[in-house]
Amino acid sequence: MSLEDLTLLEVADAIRTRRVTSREVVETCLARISDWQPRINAFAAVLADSARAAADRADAELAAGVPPGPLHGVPLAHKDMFFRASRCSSLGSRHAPPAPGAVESSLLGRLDAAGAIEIGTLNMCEFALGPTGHNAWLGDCRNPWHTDHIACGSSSGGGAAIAARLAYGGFGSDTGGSVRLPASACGVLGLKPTNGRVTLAGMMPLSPSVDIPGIFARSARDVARLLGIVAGRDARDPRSSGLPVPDYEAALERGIARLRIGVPRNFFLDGVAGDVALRLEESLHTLAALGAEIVPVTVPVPEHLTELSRVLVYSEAAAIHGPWLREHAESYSPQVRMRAATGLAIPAAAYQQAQQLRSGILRRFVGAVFSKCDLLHLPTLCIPVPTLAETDVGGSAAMWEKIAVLVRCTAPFNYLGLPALSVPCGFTDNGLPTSFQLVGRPFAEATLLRVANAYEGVTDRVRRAPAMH
Amino acid sequence: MNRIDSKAVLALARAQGHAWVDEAAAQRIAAGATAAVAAVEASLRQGEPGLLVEDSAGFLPTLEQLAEPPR
Repeated sequence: MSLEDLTLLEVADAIRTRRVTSREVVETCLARISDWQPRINAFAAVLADSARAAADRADAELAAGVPPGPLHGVPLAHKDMFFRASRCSSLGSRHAPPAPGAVESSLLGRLDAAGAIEIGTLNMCEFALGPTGHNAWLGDCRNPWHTDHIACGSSSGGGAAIAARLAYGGFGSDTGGSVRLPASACGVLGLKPTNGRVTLAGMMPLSPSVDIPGIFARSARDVARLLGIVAGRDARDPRSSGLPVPDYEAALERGIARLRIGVPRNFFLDGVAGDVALRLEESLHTLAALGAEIVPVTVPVPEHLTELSRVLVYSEAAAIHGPWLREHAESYSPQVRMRAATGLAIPAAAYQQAQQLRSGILRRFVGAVFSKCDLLHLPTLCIPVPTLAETDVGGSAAMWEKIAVLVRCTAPFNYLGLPALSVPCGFTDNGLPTSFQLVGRPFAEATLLRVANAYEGVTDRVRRAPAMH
Repeated sequence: MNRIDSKAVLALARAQGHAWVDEAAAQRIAAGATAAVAAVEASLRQGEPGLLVEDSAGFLPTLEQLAEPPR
């Protein structure tokens, strides 16, 4: 198997045991970036010099007998919104407002400590506000399976880069589906952890009460490794949880026999395209054959959850962007300008009510759903991946409708704060990837990863790579 | 129902100094805000009658209370 086709765990093991050097791995990624970047525009910046220098340091440390970290010498790439004191992040914008000085992302710090190498920063939708991957300033990110199609967003570069084997994993942010949607569109795994599981400190805020960093990787084991490194309480983030962090990799080994997988009777399967529904059905048969019990479940009041989430997101985005938007409106594209400004028209009382309702709605949802099953199985994206042209609606009247279709199955779980994992399960008739989404109780990431790992063990979905045409 | 129309949005935008908001933008913003606020009102109707006294700071503790038990 060639270097680029190794998973993150496989390449970490190969470096640790000195079967390959970190420098060779980094050069492989840089060569692929050079080939793919003109086609898919997944990167905002390629950090070739610093990645080479870090790889040489990693190799020298190994040669000197320094004990390696769990990501020693492994190239990763992250959405261009995790701050480093040493550089400016684009935030996907034309002229990013000045971020607070000398801010360092806690998440990047944990990855650094584990030995990871940052090979570049990734393209994203402007200020993380957009589900398609269009970007008027950095250029649109394109889907590596077919470059006429969107990579989805807002962490568009994450899905595209990890699918095209330009890095071995990476982080984005998920406020309405922004990790799960590009993961699904590009055929890799995408995890939105429980809100509070991963620190927000030093990440560009869009809506701090809804935001959460998410993971892109090509196997459940890779996601488990990355989550284990970044999860846990951060003194710099008062929204982070102090609950113990389980050993996610060890939990993968348990099978899924007798696990109850709930399939929603209502809402989430309404309007699902035929070829997406077929792949979902096939994945359920596979999971049943592995011993899971498939149970129908009625989900309480899902139709309001996306809009409730929007009340929080737009109000908080308006608070963050309001002053810059007032003075520099021309720095924003029309769609982002209007979406950020929507919060200016939402009454403060409605915002506070959406916050106050959140715990009660979560309790009702968890009680009704997870008394009947251990996790939910539903689409990530209920339609085949559309083209760039079909979704290039800017700030037109079609904007709300197009966005609603894309986030229909993802945004509800941002309001609820629940963990959700998108798992590739094949291809639709247009040749683009599709996925199922697993949703669990709060902090049930280990259970979601267990199911994904069992599924991967009997399918070849995560091993498939896009070819360059 | 709390209907937010484009005239109200235009007035709010002017009051807050957002001179870039024109009639077309105001219509889009009004549509988005109306749908969002309608969901809050519908959720309030479906909840328990009485004062809404839940502390919004309690969301993380609620997530932690509802966490999956160790397996």
